[in-house]
Amino acid sequence: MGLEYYLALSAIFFGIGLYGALTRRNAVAVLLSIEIMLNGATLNLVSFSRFTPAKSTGQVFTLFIMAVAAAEVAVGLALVFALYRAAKTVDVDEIDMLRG
Amino acid sequence: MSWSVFAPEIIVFAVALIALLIELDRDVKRPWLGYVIGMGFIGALVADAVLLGAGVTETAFNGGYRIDALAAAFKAILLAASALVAIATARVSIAGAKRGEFYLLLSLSVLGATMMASAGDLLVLFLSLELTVLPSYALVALKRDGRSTEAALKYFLLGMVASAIFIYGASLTFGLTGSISFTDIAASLSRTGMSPALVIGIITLLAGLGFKIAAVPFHFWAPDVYEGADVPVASYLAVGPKAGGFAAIIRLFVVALGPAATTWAPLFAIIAVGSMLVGNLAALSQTTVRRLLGYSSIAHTGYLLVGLAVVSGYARTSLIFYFLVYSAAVLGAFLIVLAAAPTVGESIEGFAGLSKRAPGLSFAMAVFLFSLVGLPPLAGFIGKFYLFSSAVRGGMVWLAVVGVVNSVISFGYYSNIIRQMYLVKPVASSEVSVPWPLKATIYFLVAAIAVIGIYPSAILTMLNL
Repeated sequence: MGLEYYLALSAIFFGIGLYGALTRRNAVAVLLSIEIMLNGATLNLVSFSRFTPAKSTGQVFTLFIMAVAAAEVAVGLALVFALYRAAKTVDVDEIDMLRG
Repeated sequence: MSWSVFAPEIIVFAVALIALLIELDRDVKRPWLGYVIGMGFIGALVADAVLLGAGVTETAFNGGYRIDALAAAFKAILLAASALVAIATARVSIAGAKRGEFYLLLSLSVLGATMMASAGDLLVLFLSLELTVLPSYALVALKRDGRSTEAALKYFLLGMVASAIFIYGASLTFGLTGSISFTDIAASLSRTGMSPALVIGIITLLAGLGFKIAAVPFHFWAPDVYEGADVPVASYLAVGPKAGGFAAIIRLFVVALGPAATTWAPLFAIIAVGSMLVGNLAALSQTTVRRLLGYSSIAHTGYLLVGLAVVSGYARTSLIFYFLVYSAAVLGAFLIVLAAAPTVGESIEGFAGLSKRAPGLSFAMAVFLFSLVGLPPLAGFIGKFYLFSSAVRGGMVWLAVVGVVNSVISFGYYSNIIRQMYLVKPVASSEVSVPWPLKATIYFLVAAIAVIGIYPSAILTMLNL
């Protein structure tokens, strides 16, 4: 299989994730969609690294992305909990205390 | 390479550790912590100024980290602003949080922004960008009420989407040029030229970084965050992440994607015009000072991006100079809100007759707002003059015209606050009491804006303008 298949798959991942992040109303579902976007990017990195004579840069980059994504989810879920405590909802369309 | 070139970063990291350790001791009230942290930032600023003065140019970690004049200039602005925030908040109550938590998250975010200014490849840029924004999400939520949590969650979700788009762009750029190092990307670009996929890569990289500087159309978080977060947090966010973001944009686009300048310069021009118009027009209808400042900061991102739409060294130096001037004025305006809000609230009507109740504060606020408009003899005038003259020199007269027209529009809402303070009768007559460190920082910023405005050559020669 050539590089194009991997790139197409990663573009599909990225597109699905972006669509979900923009349309889902549940904050946790938005978080999940963002993870799918990240998967698209990391698949890109790994496959470029595999198919070019270049070194292992893509793989190393991917490891860093995974670590950062874990940290981000920790912060994100804490915020979702805090929001649920304050507003009794995790629906991003229902919170509208700030307007203008 | 010697480790001394990392002195600013090492000192900021030490400051973060001090805040963390002190926070462990839960019983101490720690009113002095702000001074300690502020002194730490000033120490880092001195170290950075020495590097800038000596003209140190170093590349470390296989091209991943660069210490040069561009990095040092942005670090100096960032560290000075952070020191002022730390000292100004020393005797102000930080809502809902332990003082140590605030300073710990603040200094970690500052560390991320300083590293962002020095990033020399896409991986370091990504990591430092995340180090800048992750603590700032927590900072926004620190107040622990509904509004700040809502602002933090919006900021977080939009920020994550922007980061994911940025990484996708980074992966495309890496794949098409075969490297993540900025200099290698530039070399590969000038060898192979542009491809459609690379254009997508450039647009996505721009989208990811545009979020950090609150440029249209990635600006939606800014008014919410500036309104919902605690005021000390908002005053830092108006300067800190933007300093890192602009430094990273200049380095990524000018150094790494320089051969593709004809592709991205028009994009910056469009974003600049959009940010100016959206920011200024939305600010006209605002009723709270903080939300108004949020939209005004979007407009200022637009003015600053003129320095990138015009591809020249002169324009970029004007950008750095205007960033310094903007930081001083917007930080000052937020500190005035911090000082006045406990007594008069945050709505623009609340500022009615403030000149009778707090003449010093009102005068300072007038100076900050006039500097944001760009009236002579204040620093904002010199900054805008250089920025717009760089557009004229670069053959983009229309961009300079748009900028000037927008400055006139912005006079409408800034002058509304000044009219309230000076021409409307006060609703109450109680004194506005302000802790002295906060007062001292506000007057320091007034003095800085006046001095830079009357005697700009001191800074300009440092930047070689």
